Amino acid sequence: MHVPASFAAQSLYMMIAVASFIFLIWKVKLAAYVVKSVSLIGASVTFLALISGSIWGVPTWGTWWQWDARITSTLVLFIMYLGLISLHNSFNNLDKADKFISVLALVGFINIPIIKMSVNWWSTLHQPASITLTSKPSIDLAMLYPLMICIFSFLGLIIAIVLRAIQYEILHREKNKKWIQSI
Amino acid sequence: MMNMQFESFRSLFYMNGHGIYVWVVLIIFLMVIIGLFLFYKIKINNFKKENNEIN
Repeated sequence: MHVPASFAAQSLYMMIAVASFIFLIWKVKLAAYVVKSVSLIGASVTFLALISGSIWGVPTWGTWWQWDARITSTLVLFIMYLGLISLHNSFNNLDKADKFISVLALVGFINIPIIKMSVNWWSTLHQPASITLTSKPSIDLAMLYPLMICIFSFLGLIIAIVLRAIQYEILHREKNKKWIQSI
Repeated sequence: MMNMQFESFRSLFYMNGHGIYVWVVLIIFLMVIIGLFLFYKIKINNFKKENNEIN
């Protein structure tokens, strides 16, 4: 569950970054709603990745927390998500809030490749990537298949929640429009 | 025939001393995921209710 949560945490941030880019360049309102609604889910999933890693760290590494490169960069991701949520909530003008969090989200995107490469750049507790696109997986097939099932199942769950969140954001932000009132 | 990893329910819960970590993580995951589902479900339902009252 730890790996699917970490994978989802980074994937959601990539989704936010793409939506931010679309919003800032083409002013698509739906993209801004995506940025806003995915932030809370991203923060929750990153929290799950951190807490599950911390709990599992006790029997495997003998410690709850270590300033390991992967853990620290994931903590930065969690803080980024919290920053997006708080920044949006600090504005009364929602259009302004959308612009500011989109810019912040794009700036924070620099952290994603850092998380990905952290295990290669620094030699710390986390082992280098076991599954890569270019080489054979270094984990046993008996573990690889269940892991893949877990990752895709968890992503399915998260996508379902994201769609719900976007639905709510559209209803909330467009509440004064005629088509919403007729629902 | 399927090869079972654990001989009994007791060993499934205990997992050679690792059970506590596995089950605690599972419970936290379920709480957060179900919590998120309910959070948005309740928000959408409340919105629809308010919207119907206004109209």
